[in-house]
Amino acid sequence: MSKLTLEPPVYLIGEYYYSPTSGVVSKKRVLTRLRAKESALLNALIDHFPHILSREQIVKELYENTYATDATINQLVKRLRNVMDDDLRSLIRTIPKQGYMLTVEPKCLEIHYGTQTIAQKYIASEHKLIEPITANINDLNRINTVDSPSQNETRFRIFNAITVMGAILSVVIGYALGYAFTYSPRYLEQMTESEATQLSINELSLTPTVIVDSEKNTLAIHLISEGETVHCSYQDKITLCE
Amino acid sequence: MRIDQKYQKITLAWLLCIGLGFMTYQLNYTPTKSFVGFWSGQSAVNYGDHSLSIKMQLVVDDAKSESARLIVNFEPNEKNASTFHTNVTSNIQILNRSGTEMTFSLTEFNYTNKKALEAFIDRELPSKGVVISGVSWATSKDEIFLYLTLPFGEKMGVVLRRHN
Repeated sequence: MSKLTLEPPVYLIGEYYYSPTSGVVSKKRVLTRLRAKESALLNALIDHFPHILSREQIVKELYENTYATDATINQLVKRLRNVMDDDLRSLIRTIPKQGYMLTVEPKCLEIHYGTQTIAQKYIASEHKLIEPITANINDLNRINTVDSPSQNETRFRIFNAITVMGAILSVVIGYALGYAFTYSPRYLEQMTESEATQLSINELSLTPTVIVDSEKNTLAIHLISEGETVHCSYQDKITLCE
Repeated sequence: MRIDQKYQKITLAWLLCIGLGFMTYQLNYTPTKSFVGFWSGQSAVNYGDHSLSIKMQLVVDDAKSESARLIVNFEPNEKNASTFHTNVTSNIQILNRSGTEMTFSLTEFNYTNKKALEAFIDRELPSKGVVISGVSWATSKDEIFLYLTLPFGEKMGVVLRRHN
């Protein structure tokens, strides 16, 4: 989807900026792209200002070689009013039995690109009754670069989501740190029988030592108790100490 | 460099969350957690020409309560000796823990058939509890070793294995 921009020529219709080139309307820095037919209808309304745009003219200009009923036109006008927040029909007025007209004079903005000026007088001559007024493209660009509320809302939601996810992750990290910094059981030193034969009983008993077989099953435990070496054998699930 | 105040607040909140996670673990952790379950083992102690078989069962309760029960069954080790069975049950309460070491006490001794045991060892057991001391180590995840000194100075070692 292309970026929404107000490309020259740009009209000011009440509070709205409108670019027939890009088919974009802007109000209070909110840019909305019109559908092709909506844009064409608005163009026709501008062209015919201050006169009434009849249904026949709409059919002729917008639906040439096609078929359009009254309902089709009603629906199109309704959509354009919705886009332009014209619920009260104060911008696009219905003239009973005749057609539609803009209630506000569309003004063509004369666009300046820094020092370079693009004359928009041909537009003025094309739309004879429209007086060109000047505007700086930078001002319009400033409008374009400002985020719309929906974009802000999306960013706000993403920001919130990241904040919440970060908080959850932080709790998990804290829990993991708690685990890492907590004492875990320390097991007695284990030694195989072959390793144990190379040491004396006294050496084995200095720190309690567990003698295990090749399958890590306990066979005996050596320890020192009250200055005496103790040898405990473990066979058939019975412990015998000497 | 100036950091946006909003980001400072979020960073602070995250740090608090790390602290919260750390505290949650610490509050839920007890050294007995690794030993929760049912353990049993058997040993024998000589009393003169008699040999007494001691079967020990240890039930370590849920880690939160930090309590356990010890059930000891005494019977003659020799096959030709007159048979008797004496049971002792007691509660274990953690008194202190420091690092990897725990100190606990045995309370509420409850004997069944105490007289038979006294006759076998030819000694009278104290009427109000007995003094037993000792140390124990974990030899593996599912095995612990207890080395105890019994009321009359007898030494006894027993390997207890965990049963799932």
